[in-house]
Amino acid sequence: MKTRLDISLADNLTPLQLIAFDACTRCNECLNWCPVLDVTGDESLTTPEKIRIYGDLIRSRHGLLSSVAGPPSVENGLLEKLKDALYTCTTCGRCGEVCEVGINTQQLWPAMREKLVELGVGPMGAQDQTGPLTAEHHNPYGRLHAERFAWLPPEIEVAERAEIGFYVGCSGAYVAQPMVIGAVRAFASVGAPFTLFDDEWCCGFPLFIIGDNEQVAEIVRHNVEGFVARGVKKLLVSCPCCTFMLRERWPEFYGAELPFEIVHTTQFIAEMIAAGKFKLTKSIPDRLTYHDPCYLSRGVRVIDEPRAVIAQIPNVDFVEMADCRELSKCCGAGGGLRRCNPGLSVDMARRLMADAEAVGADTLVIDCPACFERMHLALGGMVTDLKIVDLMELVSELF
Amino acid sequence: MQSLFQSFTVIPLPWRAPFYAAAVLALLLAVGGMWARVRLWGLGRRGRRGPLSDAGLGHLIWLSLSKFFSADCLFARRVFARSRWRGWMVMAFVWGSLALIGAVILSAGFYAANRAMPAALDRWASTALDVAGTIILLGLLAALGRRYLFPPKRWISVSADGGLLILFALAVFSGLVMEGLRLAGPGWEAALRWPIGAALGAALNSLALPPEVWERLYLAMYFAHAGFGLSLLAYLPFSKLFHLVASQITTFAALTPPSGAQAAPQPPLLSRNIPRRERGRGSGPALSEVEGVRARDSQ
Repeated sequence: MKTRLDISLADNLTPLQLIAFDACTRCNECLNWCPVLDVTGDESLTTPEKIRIYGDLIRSRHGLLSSVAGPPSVENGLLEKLKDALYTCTTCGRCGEVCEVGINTQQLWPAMREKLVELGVGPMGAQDQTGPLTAEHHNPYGRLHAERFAWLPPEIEVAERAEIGFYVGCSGAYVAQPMVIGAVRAFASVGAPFTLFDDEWCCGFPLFIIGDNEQVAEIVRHNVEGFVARGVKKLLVSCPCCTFMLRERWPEFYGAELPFEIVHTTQFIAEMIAAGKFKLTKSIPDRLTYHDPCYLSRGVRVIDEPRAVIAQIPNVDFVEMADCRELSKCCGAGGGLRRCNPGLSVDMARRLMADAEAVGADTLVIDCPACFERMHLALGGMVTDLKIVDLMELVSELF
Repeated sequence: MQSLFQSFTVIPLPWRAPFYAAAVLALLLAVGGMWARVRLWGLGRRGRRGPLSDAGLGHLIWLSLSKFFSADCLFARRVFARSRWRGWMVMAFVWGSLALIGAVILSAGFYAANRAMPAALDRWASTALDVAGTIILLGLLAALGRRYLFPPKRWISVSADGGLLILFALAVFSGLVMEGLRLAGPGWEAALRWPIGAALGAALNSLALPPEVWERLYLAMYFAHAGFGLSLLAYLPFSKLFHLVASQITTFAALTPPSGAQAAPQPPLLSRNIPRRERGRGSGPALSEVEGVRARDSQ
């Protein structure tokens, strides 16, 4: 069976992304860093293959021959192979970080996935539920929209209008509540009035990342208007994927620059520490290590701030893992992988926790609700004393 | 001793027309093929966020030419950050090719202009060609060794990449052998000008063949070298060697941090706490260790 390539394969890619298909030297350095390959051992799922196959398709679809003889047809098997390679990936961007020619893969994969969706080939497995669930419940977990703020501690005062807004995000609201509880407690301790948008919807990242962008513009407009109506000038976001989505992609779907600044919660707390408005007074006996979430470190380059916050803990015993900062390993939760291949994503989370144990850490500090969910799930199948704590959760217990 | 220019006149008169026709055809294929690929860059959507999002084709072509001479490319900074072995390999290709292309353009320019080249310049150009060819060949041997003898544990490729490498190596190797054949007569007195070619010539001299045989072998090797070289030129835009045109743009764009990011260390790969790895698996334990040692379900 063959599929006729009668759509453009290039019109959603930037010129730089199109150049990437010509720039890859197939040096294979990225293979040494791929956390999916660590587990699967399948080299056909890796970056050079994705780039080679899609590059060939573009040249075949948009080459001179195609303009004379019409759009070509390709074997469905090839498209299926490309789908496996593109979706068996957490889009962690580690391959791009080590790429010897600097290809930004974290931004490239979603654009390629979008085309597979347009061709009717993607997404993969249970990922196809993301769209309907988000449309119905405004979150990809299919949880009740009315319960989005059920986690909010009663003692926390939320302003009706404020210059500071807090975008909670679906993972924080439904599967990593200790993180957002810790965040609002930290905001309250700073004394900065903040507001929430009580009809907040998913940021659109889970749809964007699997290439299904149909609803995203509507989602973005709804959320932006909701926060603008509350007078927000600075929007705090605790989830790295949401932070990336809001900073990098929302302006495009909104059609203009956002009317507020996007700041990750850890950046905000680090700013407050620097201004002398936030101080941690309690110590913790554990040896800590920190996992840089993919979209926080490689996505928006918030790398030093979490360490600055951890450094405020009196007498802290902190150790870096072998793979840290821009080169941190992925926990397996990203890119929609946990939906289409949950077993693989749990295996990846276990590897990351084993890395934390290898440096003698008692507590693995994370700063991402997706990591939080995945690692707690993975923890269930392991015999370990390692504790998984979110940074905001930790901070809220130490002031 | 022969001058560098003489290589332009070794082709027997009846063969010149087809030879130059082949050269023009190779050049047309190279330029046409390159344009066919470069024009695809213009199909992208402009105005999206990200580096070079509004760059037109002209700007991108300018970056391709100018950024080739950036420190990142000339000193293979991103490559060295990951692997010294590959870093030196790339340096051999880049500097060897620059010297080779520079010397060829210089001598061809003088030949076209006034059929003469200042003696000192001719001497330097001759040595540059000789040494640069050897440097590239060393780089190519390292690449071939990495590919066929000591491949990394994690490796994926296509056979065309191996074919390209072999073609490149044949083009360079045949050039050096041709030099040896050309210098088989003069022996070591040519060593000051063509050290590698003279060494090869001295080695070949030990075969004690009659001069006319050397001449015939030299002509055959000249055509072989030209054939390999022109084939490489024509094949360039259809092979992965096209990264020579594209990769400096992505390397340059990688220096731009994401919007709203804090000031990123420049270059990002050289910041602290980054482990260097030559190759091989990551530092984490194997899955069997994770599951076997610590997983409850395995107990």
